[in-house]
Amino acid sequence: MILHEVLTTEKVPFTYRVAGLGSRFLAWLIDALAIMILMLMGGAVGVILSLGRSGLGAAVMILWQFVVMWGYFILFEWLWHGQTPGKYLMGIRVIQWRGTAITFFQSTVRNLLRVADSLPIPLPLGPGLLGFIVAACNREQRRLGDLAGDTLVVHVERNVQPILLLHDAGSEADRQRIARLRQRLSQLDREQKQTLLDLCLRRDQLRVLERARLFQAAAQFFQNRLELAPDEYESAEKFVLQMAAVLGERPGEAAR
Amino acid sequence: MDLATFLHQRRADWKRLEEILQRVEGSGLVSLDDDQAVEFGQLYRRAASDLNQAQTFVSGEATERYLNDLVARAYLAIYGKTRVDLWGLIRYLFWGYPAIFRRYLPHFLLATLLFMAGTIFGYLAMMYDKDVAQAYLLPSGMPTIQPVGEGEDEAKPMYDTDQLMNFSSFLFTHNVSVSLVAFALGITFGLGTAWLMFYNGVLLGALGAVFAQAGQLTAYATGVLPHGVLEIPACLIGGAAGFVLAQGFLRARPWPRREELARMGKQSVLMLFGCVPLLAVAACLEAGVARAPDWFLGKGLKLAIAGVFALLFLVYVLLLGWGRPAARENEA
Repeated sequence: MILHEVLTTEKVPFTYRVAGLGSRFLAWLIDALAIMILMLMGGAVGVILSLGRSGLGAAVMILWQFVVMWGYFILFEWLWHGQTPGKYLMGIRVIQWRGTAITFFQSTVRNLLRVADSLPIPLPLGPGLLGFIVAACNREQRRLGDLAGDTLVVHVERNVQPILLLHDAGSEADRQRIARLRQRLSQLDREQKQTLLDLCLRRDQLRVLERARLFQAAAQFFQNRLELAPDEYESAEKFVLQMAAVLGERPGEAAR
Repeated sequence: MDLATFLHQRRADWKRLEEILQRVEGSGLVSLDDDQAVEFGQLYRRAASDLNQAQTFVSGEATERYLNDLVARAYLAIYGKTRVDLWGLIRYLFWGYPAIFRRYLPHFLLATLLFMAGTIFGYLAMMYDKDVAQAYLLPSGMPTIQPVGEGEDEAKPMYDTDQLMNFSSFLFTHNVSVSLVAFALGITFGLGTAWLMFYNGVLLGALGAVFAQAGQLTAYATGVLPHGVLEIPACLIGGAAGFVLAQGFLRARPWPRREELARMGKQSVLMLFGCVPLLAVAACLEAGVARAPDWFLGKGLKLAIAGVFALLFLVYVLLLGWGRPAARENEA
């Protein structure tokens, strides 16, 4: 995983995960398909128009093909803040090097240069051999258009909410049990607490089997160490989540 | 700080920030009322400072990652404003562009030089050995004008507005494509651009020779010049923009190459966009004037129109926009 660090205007550093060539190529395939469909639709409209006046239909068709061919990427990336339909579906987007959304000019440079990136056969849709080679040869996997436009392609995180899910896990537990839990949990040292929380926060990133195994192990640990047992019919995961939720609350607030 | 306490204290704010973010990403910053906008800013700054804290004091990779993604999303939403500025566009076209054109006049002259060399080469080659030149220089089946044959009456004029529409849209898209490709190939150290400039010159010269051999150079001039006076400069502008890009790639002082290339990338697009209106006018001229029958527009009148437009172009790029040093440059 390649990270690209950005410093906000508040001087806080954060990172983007650079999109790999694989997801970018798949996004391009989707876009190429969309372009083909758009062209065919334009062709159909042209044919219908040319029933009335032959020149008009042909003119509309030619102009439409031109606009789609050269404008698809430029307009989408500009208006959709760095995303085309293909990029949206693949969960990636184009950003400026300094981390903000791209401007119209950057979108233009990066997408006109698809011609150069598709060398040895210069096609407006690109990307071809040269783009791949250049992108594979630099750290952020930028093709020529990215270099000239000062842009790069990163992953967008759409559904990362493990921390919010954590909150609700403990709300059903009855108070007596919580009080008992809190008292026992205070025996844990700092590192153990961190591990417990980290496990709960990252549970969505784990594979099903791993997840079950890790929560089972954690539940076993607490059972042995703190002599706490999950309720009957309660899963190991839910039991551990409950403890993590209790851990977050301070004694004063527990009465609520 | 303890991770558990940290999470517990800050979680509500993050949740609120996510809610606002979802809304902004859906329908833009405009959808927030004043209070929400203020709140959004505050929440973002707090999340950024939380991220800072998570990076420094609180261990816990998942939390840090979550905050990182939250801040990244908010950062893009806040600093990602793109609005169409119509007045800025007009200002760029009338005053900004001529100034930029003059700044990159050397690049334009280089493109012109290559183009002229190509023209002369094409003309001489065609005069010297017609068959070989035709086989190697001119693409077969190129939709182009032909000298009038012996038996033919007069070049068939395109009266038909249908055909004119068709033809001018073809010319416009074709010529813009040539300019755009010439620009894009600038990244090949300018070599691709140089070749395209030269080759387009060859086409012009070789065709001229074909007409000259048929003794119809005046017909050629009246056919090509009315639109060519704008079309050729537009093509040269595409080439010049390519050379600007190439310069960013080749010259890396005093900045690192990455920064210089990015800077010149923007400049080159500013240079390039000037050719779009030129080509639109040229396409209309091509269809309307160059192809008009001689009884409608005499040869002399056609050349006069060409002269007027050449003059207009020169006035545009040489006289407008002084005293407004590339007004659009910094805004872009």
